[in-house]
Amino acid sequence: MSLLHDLTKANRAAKEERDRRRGPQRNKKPSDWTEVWVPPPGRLANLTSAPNVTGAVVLLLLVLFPLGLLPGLRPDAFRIDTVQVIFRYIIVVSGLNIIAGYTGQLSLGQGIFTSLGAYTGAILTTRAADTVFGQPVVSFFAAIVVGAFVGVVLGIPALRVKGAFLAVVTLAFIPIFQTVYSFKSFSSLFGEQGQIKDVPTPIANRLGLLGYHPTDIDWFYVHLALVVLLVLLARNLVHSRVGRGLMAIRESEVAAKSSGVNVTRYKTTAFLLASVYASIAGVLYVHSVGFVSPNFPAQIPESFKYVVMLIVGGSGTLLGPILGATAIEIVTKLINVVFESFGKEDIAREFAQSILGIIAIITLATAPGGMIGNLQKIKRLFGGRSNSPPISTRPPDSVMARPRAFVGDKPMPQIVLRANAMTKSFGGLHANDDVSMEVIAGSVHSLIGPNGSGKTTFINTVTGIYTADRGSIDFLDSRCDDQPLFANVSRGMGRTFQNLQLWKRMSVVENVMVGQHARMKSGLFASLLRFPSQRKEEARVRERARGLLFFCGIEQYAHLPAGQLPYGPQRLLEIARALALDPVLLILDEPAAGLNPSESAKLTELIRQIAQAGITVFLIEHHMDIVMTVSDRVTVFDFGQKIAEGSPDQVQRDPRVLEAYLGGETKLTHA
Amino acid sequence: MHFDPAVFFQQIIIGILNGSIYGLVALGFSMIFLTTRLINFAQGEQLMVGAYTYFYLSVVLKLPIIAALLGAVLFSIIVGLVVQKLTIQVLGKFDPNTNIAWILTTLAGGLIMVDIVKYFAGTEQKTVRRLIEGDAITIPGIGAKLEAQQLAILVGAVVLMFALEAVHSKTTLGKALKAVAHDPATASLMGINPNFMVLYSFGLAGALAAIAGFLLAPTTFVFLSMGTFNGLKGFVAAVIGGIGSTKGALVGGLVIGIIESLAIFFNAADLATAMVFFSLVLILLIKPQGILGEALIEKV
Repeated sequence: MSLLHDLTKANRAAKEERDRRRGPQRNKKPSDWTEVWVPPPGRLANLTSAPNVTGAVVLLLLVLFPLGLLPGLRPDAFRIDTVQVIFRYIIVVSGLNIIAGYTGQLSLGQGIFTSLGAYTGAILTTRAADTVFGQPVVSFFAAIVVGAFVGVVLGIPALRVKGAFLAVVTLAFIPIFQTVYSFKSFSSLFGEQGQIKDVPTPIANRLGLLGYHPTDIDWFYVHLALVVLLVLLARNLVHSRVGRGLMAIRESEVAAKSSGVNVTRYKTTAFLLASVYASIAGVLYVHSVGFVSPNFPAQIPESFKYVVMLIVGGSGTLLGPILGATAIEIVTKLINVVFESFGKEDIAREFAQSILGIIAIITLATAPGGMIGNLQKIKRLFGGRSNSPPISTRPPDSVMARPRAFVGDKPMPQIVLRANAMTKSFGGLHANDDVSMEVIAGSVHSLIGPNGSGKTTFINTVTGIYTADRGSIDFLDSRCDDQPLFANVSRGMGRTFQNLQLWKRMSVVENVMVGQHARMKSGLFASLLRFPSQRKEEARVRERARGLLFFCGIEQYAHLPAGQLPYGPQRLLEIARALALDPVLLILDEPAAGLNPSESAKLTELIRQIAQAGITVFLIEHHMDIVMTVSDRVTVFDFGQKIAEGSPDQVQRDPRVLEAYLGGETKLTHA
Repeated sequence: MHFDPAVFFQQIIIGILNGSIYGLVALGFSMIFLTTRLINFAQGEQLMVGAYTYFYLSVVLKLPIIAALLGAVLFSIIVGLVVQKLTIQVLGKFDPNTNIAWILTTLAGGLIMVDIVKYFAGTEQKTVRRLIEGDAITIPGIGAKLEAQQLAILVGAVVLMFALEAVHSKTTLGKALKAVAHDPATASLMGINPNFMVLYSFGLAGALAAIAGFLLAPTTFVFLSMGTFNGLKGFVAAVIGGIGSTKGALVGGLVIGIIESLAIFFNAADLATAMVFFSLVLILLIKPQGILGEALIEKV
């Protein structure tokens, strides 16, 4: 057999060397429109993986209560007010954290949504005071609806771009809203020059509900209750199917799609949640100060302040917004006090946004992980324990599905995958030229060919990343190349990536849990409110993830961030993640690249076991020993065309195959 | 509404005029984007600083226009380099695509500039004198008037852009710039100093911002928020034209200028700014790479 084997060795070695050199960190191609907002490194992943609600509540009580109200201490209006301001910032920044910290899409326009909440509350309670809509509770929910609606309307176009472009688009929304608020024709709605004064507040004693007028202490408790509720909801979200989907988008969008995450919808959902959080803070704001204008809070510096709070606290962590909002608000107050003591309070006021700007620059330059990142460092320094749950050493019951005869309620077709005279070109180059092939259910089918022969293009077309220019590809008897990736995935197509696409800062077990995304049901509300069904599903999914890690032999890494794994286990994790969605067809794109011989042997065994479990395997590989050992059928590509197909033996004897690997002019006397 | 061609063309002329200035700002964004893949969020504020410097030199110190302009440009170049040092370089070595902390640091730089200028110059608008005195000529046939100053602005902006394009396409400097834009690592293997190119682009963008501020000042006054608005408009122009492209910057600028003028002509002056930003949303929905930009295929 071994001419082909020898011949591909050089090819393979070169490729592996490249893969190794690139390492797991370097496999992302920078491209102008594809950047993601990634919270800077410096924090441990288990902060996101371990529920830390007690910490959040204790912190709220410890830090904020003495400032506002302490039993026995006479409440002081100034301190209550300061704490309420902090509470409102915590709400906005927790919302911003969902879209920017967890989903990785930085919005610089959050002030818009605060202002929407403020205007909704102000308009309803002043203009419709006598109707049911003028009741504070109704106007509160109206603000949520308005925030959610505008969030979706703005989010859908804006989220088509990422990174800096998203930041500018959201920034550019701010002047649009300022214009609309102060627009002459709308003055009957938004007031003269967009200003609404005399909005009912508890202090002025006109904010009433069914004849009851809350005191300022009651109003404080309204703030407190909402902060606790919204922080808890955010926490629930993060530890749910939806939250993990969001983090997966942040870490690798294409991998998220390949696990069945509807990226567009999830981003929009996160944007909507951030808007709703900001709107809630806006309603609280307007009923606290009794006034709203186009210049505040729909303002660039104010929106910037939210982001600075997030960064300073620690983006993508649950405690970050709480710490950041508290720290920034207190530090600004302190700076004011200091300048005041020198009789220069005007300077502190004049340079308020500069101070924020300087804090932002210093934080990003010296402590990109924010306060949480530093707390983690200190904790590690003192050998702090990790708060991950211990992993059981008992191997689980079999997690692999039995050989199956059905897909859903339909019988499994004979042919799982069929390419019909498929052509895909880039410019003038036919990456795949008139390719026809069939993958039989339950088989291990390999696709080989020299570098650049169109193998990866073929996979990308199968999964729907590209659409065929001519011809088509059918998966389970219906066309798949023109379907979105996540749709193919939910029909049972699992894949791994040649250039690893793991979610590096999520834990290994979380990676496999996201892999089960398409097989889970819990939606947004179930996740936010932790319905019993959702909790049951979480437990089941976590258990199955653990089982899959055992199956792939990487259970010992379960709670490490995926990016910290050695190279071989990272490859196996990709397989575990793809298996998690219980695929009908498993596509492995060069799974052995960069593996050492013993790891390769393990991989061979793993592929065998997968096939025995009844999963059809479509393998692309340069390691001929693996291909020839595990395959039932082998297809060979060269220059985008299928040049041979058959059993491993047939293919190895095929002169065209040898020629493709050796080059056209060589005479073969061997084999 | 009665359609008056003279008024209409008058507005179009103003649109082209402003558009050419937005084009300069857009070119500043493009230059920095080329070498660093960054968007300098302080670019608009540099325009404001340039305009204020020009005001200070020409009105307060009563320097001749040319001297004041040169002084403003020089100062703005320095500001550009300081921005690079204080907001980009402090972040250390990073991949602009995955770590976008620079959005916040450059934005912070802009906000700091506003505070400083506000502290020294106050919040009221400033007026500068006209660049060129002279009677307006009436363009035969369409009845619109063109002032000497307007002609000077237009010619100045367009000539400057074409001159830069010529320099960048003909000289080694231009080739080095493109090399760094494609791949800084390989460029440095060829003996090009990418850091110098980055500084060059920040300095050039600073100069362009000052010139744009100088050209805008006689027609729109000098005021604190001129940076935010014109900066955003310049960015929209860069995106519409295709970021990274010189011709695109001019085309995008003209599109923005004319949209604004049409809004004013149709009595919706209040909405002019909103419409410009709305066009950003539209272009991103329809053709995110811009009119003259190249489409990028996402590789997996």
